[in-house]
Amino acid sequence: MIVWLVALSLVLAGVAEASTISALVRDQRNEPVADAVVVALPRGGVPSVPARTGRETVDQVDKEFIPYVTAVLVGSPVYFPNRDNIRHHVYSFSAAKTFELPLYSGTPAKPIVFDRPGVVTLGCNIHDWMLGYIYVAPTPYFATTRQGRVKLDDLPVGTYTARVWHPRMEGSEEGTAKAVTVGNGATEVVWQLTLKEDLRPRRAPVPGQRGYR
Amino acid sequence: MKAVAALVLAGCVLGPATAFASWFVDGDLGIVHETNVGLAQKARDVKSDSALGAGVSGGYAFQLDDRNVLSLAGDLAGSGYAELPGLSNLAAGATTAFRSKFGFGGSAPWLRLFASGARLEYDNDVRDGWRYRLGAGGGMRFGERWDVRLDYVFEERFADRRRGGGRLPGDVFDTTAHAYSARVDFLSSEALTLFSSYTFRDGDVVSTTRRNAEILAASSALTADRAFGPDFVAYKIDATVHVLTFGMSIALGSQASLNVAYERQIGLGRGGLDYFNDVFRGGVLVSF
Repeated sequence: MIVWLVALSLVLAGVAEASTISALVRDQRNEPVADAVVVALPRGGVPSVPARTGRETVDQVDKEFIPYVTAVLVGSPVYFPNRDNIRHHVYSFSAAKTFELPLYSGTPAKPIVFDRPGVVTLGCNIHDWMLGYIYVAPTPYFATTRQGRVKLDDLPVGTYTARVWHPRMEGSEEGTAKAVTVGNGATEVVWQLTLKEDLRPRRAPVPGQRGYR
Repeated sequence: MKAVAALVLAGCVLGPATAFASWFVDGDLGIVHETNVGLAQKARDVKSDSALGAGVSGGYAFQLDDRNVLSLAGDLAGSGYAELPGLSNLAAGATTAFRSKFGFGGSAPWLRLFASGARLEYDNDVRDGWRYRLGAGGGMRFGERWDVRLDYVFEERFADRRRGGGRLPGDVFDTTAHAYSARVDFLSSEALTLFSSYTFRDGDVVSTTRRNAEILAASSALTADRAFGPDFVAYKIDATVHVLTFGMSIALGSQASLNVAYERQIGLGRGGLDYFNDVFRGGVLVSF
């Protein structure tokens, strides 16, 4: 009985000290921003945690990367299933990870391990308009916005540097840093980003450029 | 033509069974207005007209490796003219193209070779015949906004009928031409692309006018051209043509676009047979 009471008190203490950052990301027109990555870096240093065990995937569907932005913890393996009935050739020349998956269909047997924090830009050498991003986070406290909002749950009480990143943001991720003290309950943080236009090679047809592209 | 048709047939048979083949379909619907459809020199002979046109092209692309794609397609296009219905036409043919990319990413330069053949059927059958094209082009992307490409196209047409008129032969619609063009595309925004091109065309031009001594002296063939009227004659002349094009393309989602373009054709014919033609185009493209 005493053991159970001690265990229960420890659990309750843990719950009491685990809190949430509720983030809202808007653009220059006050529209909610999807695919923004919100990260929280503990001021006392990033805890050493293993990569998440879930199977991270970036699909290729209808000649697009799905999702457009994927956030993973540093050290995570990521699979790149090709759901189209044609072949893709996925590559990245980013400093955080340089790799190439030569022309393939189906799912490559081995995942790509993202072992350095940073932003990895994905492309397909067959379909130039295909563009995707993997944000490799140095902290386990991160999430990607859907319709401008996201919650970082189960944060230990303490002080964090919260930042946001988006592929089309003006300025640097570091420039978005905010000091956030997390207590019990939810702490709301709001960012307003200035987004640039998406100027990737155009997929829609242009006169005089017919035929397979 | 038979070779191209055989290639397309092979593509249609092999494509669905080949894991690395991807089907594609392009379609277009639009209107075109020309201020000088007959490419006439004298004001009294100039006729303008508008046409409604539609086309579809579809086939298979074979990814040979990470840099090279071979495509085979069937093409069908038609135009209906408002004032000169004799010019209304249907073209059915095939195109095979090879595209190679030199490097990785959207900025890597590319090269494209193509061959096409088409059967041309007009409401007024003097223009009926076959058209063959061979072409080579290349281009690359500069930065996020600019695309530049250079193209060369050789075109040859063979008409079914060669009814002459007097001393001159009647093979007016048997024509040969070389066209060299340079084009720049500017991605103004996510949805808007502006483009401009210059084409230098050297070869035969068919000019339809009323009978006159100047063009008769400079032409190499002639035939009556009922599409323009009972007293009109089509002459084959040798000319260099300068074509300037300006246009804009608005993306409608990822697989369609709305397009308008203006084209200024300046024809400089042998013997001072110069003409001008302004062409206005508008329409929708779809690509799957």
